[in-house]
Amino acid sequence: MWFGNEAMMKGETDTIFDFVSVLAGPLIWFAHFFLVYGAQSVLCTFDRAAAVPWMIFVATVLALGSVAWLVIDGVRRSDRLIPRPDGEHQDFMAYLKYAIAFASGISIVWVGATAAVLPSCN
Amino acid sequence: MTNTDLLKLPNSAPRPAGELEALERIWSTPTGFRRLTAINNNIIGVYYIATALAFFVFAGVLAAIMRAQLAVPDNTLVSPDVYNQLMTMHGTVMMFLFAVPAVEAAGVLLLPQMLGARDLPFPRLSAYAFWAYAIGGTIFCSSLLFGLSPAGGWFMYPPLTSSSFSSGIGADFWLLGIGFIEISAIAGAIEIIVGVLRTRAPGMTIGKMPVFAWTMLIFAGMVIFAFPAIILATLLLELERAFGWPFFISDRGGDPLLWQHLFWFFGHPEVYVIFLPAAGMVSMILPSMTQSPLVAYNIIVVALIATGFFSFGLWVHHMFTTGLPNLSLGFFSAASMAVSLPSGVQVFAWIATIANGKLRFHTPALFVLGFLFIFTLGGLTGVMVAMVPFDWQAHDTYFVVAHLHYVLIGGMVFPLFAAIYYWTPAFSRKALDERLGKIAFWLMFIGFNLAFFIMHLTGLWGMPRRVYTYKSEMGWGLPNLVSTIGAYIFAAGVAIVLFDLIRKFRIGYPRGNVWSAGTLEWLPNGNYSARSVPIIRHHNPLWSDPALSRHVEEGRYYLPGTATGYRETIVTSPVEAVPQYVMIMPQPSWAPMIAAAGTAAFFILLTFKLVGLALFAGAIAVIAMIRWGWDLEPKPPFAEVDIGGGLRLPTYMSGPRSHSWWAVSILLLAAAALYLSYVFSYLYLWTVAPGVWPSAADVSYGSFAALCAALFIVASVGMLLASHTLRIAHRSRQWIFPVLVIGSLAALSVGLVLEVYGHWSAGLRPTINSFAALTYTASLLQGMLVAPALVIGVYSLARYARGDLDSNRRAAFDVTHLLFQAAVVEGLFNQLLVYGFPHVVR
Repeated sequence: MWFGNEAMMKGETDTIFDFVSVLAGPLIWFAHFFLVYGAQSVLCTFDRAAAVPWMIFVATVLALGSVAWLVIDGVRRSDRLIPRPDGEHQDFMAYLKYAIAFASGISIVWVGATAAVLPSCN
Repeated sequence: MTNTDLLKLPNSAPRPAGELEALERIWSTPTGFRRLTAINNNIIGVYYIATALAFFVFAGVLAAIMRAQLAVPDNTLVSPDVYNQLMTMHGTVMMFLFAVPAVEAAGVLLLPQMLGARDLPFPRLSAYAFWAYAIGGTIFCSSLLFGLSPAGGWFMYPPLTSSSFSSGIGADFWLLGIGFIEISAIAGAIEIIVGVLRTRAPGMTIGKMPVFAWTMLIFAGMVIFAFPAIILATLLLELERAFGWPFFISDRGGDPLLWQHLFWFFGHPEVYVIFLPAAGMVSMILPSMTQSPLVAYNIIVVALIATGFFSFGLWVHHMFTTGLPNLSLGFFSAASMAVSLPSGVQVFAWIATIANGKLRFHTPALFVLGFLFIFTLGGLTGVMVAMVPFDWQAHDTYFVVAHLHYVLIGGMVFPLFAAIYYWTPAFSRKALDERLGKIAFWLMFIGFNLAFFIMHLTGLWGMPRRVYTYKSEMGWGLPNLVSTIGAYIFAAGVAIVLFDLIRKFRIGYPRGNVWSAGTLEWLPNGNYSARSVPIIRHHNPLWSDPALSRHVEEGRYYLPGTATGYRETIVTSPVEAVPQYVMIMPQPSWAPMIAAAGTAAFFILLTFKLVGLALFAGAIAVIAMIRWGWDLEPKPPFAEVDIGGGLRLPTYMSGPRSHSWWAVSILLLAAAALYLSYVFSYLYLWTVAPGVWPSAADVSYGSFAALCAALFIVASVGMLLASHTLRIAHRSRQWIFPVLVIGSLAALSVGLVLEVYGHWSAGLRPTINSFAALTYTASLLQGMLVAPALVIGVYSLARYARGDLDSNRRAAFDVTHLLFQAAVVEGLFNQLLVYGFPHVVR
């Protein structure tokens, strides 16, 4: 920093990472979606159909576990927060984080569940 | 910022004489011919929307001709080829030249006022994006007059659009023109992201941000990640058409389906790119129309973000009939249904807002109700076509035409028209006519449903899309006639709105808050936006503090005049909106317009294979861009300024907190998305045709790989040293910095040239097969980062020589450095992918 009031800058501001961290849930959804679609395509190309359901099962369990942790952790943190004087939701960012993670979890279940009812490579 | 600081405002002391006049003078709009140099968002935003509406009318006229052709069976009003051109241009212009630019334009126009900023952070970039779009779009549309338009449908599927089946320049017009316009859209998106996250009024935390700003933030993020896919697709198809690089030719290891993947990876998110800002408009209009706060703000934000993400998992639902495995279709069918959840949440929140207040049936409210009815129907048919078995029956029939128009016209055009009626008094001296507005609404609503509802049935009765006529014995005559009548009624409604706009809309001191709205864009404003920048404590600050408008207009909040003598705005932190520094902003200039004209000419001349002239135009564009940047970053007259309430802020910032660093970082995210699209294409074609990939023993073209990688690493280290040297610059060693920069730029460039030479000397030719074409494409993509790094690097050296670059004022170098390191990282990845991958898979 070139000029400025150092006191105001220290500890009273925030960064882009505070914002990006709320997107953890949908990023896990994104990774899960592309992993199951991409890996299924590659496995089917090389005649490894039997591995497809297992791959999807493991990826879905891992992804769901991750978003479940985000939701539980987010709710716990939110409960411990002191209400803000400006009347804003206790911590809007914490709320966003777990609520979006919850929505992502629903979509992960739907996408992963297809492996239980559809053939792997036909 | 502490609560004590907040309590110091509004300031009750009288304002100094001449303060307002100085503010008006510095923000004044150029007059006469020089008005073309204007960069203020309230001028560029209006130009932008007016141009988008002009393209809407143009594409609407094309639709009217098509509807006249289809009104009766066996019609010969237009020939099949002309019909194909009309159909292609209608879809292309509506999607690329109307819908996306219109919502981007709304962002440019509304966001600064809504966020309490003086302007968006890069007003010259807004002007460039607008002029590039207006000039490029006009030339693109004029191709129809000369019979040179593309005719392959708005999605331009190869092999129909390959050189074998579309030998004219129509497809090239599309590929180069649309690729260029998408670049302009990315420029606008960068501006919007930095604007929303960094220029909000103090106290407007991200949890108090207007929903429209949220939707524009998500819109811009989606543009950054989705649009590079279509830029890559257009690049690949143009390389195939112009030079025979076989990306989509199956007998040389390509695959036409790769185009569909890339196109729809962009194309489906684009639907939400269009819809989300429109939803944001509705979320702003309804509280005013009901005089009641938006219900479930937090849940709506969650729904918006979820919709934005999920929309990236839907693209294959446009490809359900291409023979992909059922499980693949299942993933996309599930995601398609999942996205309906957050969309539904928003609809319920809007209904609850209406129920919670007392709806006033003004014209904007009518258009919003029309939107709710039409869009919900479009959403329901969307769930129908998301189901694979139903889609197999309805695919490529008029059922899909009905569905997409219900979604796009319902989800975007009706909210946009609501927004035109709603926000005109915020920017125009006069409001629009309520009586005419209501007539227009009913004509549009009735006409739309007449035209498109019956198309569901026409489709179910078997009529395919994209046919220029049909036989009378098919029995489709009556429904088509009804659709045509409906379309003309709809057009009459649009004509009334345009007539009213021409009659009433005048830029000037705005009519004001006629709807008793609660958000900041309704503060009294001029070219400088609001007179002073208030502290925000609520979602609807004008409702919570009835005196706010008066206090702001009297200059009782932050930055009531010009603190530095330049145009300026307050930069705040991204989440809590804590003031960080005062950004000095540029003055009007010819440079953005000339740069845009040069860029447009470059692409258009390439279409006609006039390479020499195209390079000349490109050089003009580059020179104009350098001129544009040359007078940015003036030396601030004061290190710190008092902006009011006892708050002193620095007038310059470099490094990760600066707005320029943010902009380049976002640009690099778009470059990363482009590269990931390339990696996807590489891996996809490998799964399609692994036989054309060389064996490990054959990777002789990799002989230069280690040398290239070494040069890239040396260049990277050199640039890091240059950055360090600049930080600790000592007068006696001023030569070290330029030597390091020149050496690093040279090492990077030589590495790239050697990489290409290595491929060529090993006998690899890009026309042989898809692997070779992809190998050269990797170098080409890296070159697209190296070239700007070289130009800006030389520019930085010139600033250094002039004394405008030092340890403090170093934004130009930081930009070069970021681009440079990104080019190095991409180069190293290229070595791994192109040389390492064949070793792994064989």
